[in-house]
Amino acid sequence: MFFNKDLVLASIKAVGEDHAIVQYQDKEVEVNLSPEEAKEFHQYVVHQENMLVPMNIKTQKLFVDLEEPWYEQELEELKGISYQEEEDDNE
Amino acid sequence: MSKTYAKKSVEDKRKEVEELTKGMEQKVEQHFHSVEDLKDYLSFMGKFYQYSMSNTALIQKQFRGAQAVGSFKFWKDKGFSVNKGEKGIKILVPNKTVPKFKDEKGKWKSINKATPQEKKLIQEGKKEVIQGRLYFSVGHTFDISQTNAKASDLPKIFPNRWLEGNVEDYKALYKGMEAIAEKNGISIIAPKEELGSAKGACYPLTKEVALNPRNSERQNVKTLLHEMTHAKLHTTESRANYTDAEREFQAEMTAYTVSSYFGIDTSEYSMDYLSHWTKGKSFEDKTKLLKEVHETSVGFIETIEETLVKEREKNQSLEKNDEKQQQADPLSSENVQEKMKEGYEDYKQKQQQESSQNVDSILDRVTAEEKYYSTKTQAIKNGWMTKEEAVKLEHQIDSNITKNEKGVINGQVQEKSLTFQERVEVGNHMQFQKRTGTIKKKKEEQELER
Repeated sequence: MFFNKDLVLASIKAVGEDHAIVQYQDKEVEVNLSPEEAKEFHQYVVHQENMLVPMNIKTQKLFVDLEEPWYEQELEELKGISYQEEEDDNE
Repeated sequence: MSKTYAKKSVEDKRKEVEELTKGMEQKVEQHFHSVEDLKDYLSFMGKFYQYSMSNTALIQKQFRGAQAVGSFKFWKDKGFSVNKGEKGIKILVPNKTVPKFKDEKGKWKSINKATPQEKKLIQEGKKEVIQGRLYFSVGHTFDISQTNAKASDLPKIFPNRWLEGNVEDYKALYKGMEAIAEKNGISIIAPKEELGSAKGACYPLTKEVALNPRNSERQNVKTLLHEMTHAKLHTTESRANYTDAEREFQAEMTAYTVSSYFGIDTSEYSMDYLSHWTKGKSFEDKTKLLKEVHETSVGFIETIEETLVKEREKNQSLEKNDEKQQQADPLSSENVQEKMKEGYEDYKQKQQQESSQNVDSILDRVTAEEKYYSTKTQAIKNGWMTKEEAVKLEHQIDSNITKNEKGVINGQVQEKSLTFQERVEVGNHMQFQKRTGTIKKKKEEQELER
């Protein structure tokens, strides 16, 4: 995806002391992390369970640069965008 | 009775993303299948220029013909509601984690929790910092057609955007083009040679573009978009990376995208280069080409939109001022003489100050002219003044101006005011004004005009 065949959005299944288990396209992959990275990563997952991390499947690196500008964060019309509102009010 | 819904698990959400983004690569290939597919994509990309290419593709895949999307909360805050039963359009929502720094004890702390002293050390580069990381979640948006808002509400909902479609004021559009040229260091000049039937030319060595003086206003706008794309993307350093067909194809695609956003007729744009270009091209080639077209179009649309919105605000505030003035001091039989005199003098003054090189001065003159003639019509209609009396008043003011003027006002030689016909012609050739300082160039221009 992202118009680059090597990039995917991976979800995090588990974070260990020096690795993380991520999942994409029905595949589970173990990614090696430094202890510091693992700690940092663990904190992210605790606070944000709905997290999809850009990953390069060739290098198995997480949080890679997407080579595509994302302006959506600044758009007023996307403020407060979430699952909850749609589920409660519309479905 | 209110319904309850099971919260989606992370696994469900992941599957949803997989489903959503599956086949995105094939989608890129599809854009190049036919000229119609490509045009369809470019128009859509223009409409959602503020979105990433991935989200544009996602919106187009789920809701063809979407016009303007917003979150549920956004529509609610703007006083509208999403219609019952409507399904949201899923998009990827980018988020960034807060940067972290290593404190004295070697612990990673959020930059938000830094003490003033730590902040100072971070700024001085004396602390180890991890930049914010980009991650995503899935969010839902709704198109305006899924809400109770109407297309006519768009300017109110998105005050900083130009979503009303067609731009009829080509002068304002041209101003936008000049702003693009200025931002990108491009000069709009008179052609260096006879262009024949070509609509314009780009001189990459000097980053200059020229228009054929025979063009209409509309053609000028369209051609400038094409030539400025060349000037921006195909510079002396980069042009060797592209074939002739690639360069033309990119310029046409960008011009098409921007034109379609502003409702300029796009029927003349040719995508014939498509068939020449697609042969033997890889996925990476196509992506690179589209990315550059996307980036250039975004920059061009933003600049023109900013100019148009400013013009719209200016016109609206002028109208409001006029209304306020009229309400505060309406025209009556008592003040008709005074108002007519003031109005005509103002119109004549603006006419004298009018310069073909300054679009604002032309607009000021038009506004004063309209205001005076509306007062005159009202005065005659209400019987407060006869047509003859009005003409007499105008002659008196004209003769006073002539006496004062004698060709010179405030020590400066004034430019002769233009007839409507002359103004139209000048408007058509505004692109030459920047560099027509020399007599030689003026001569060339005149020759071309003939």
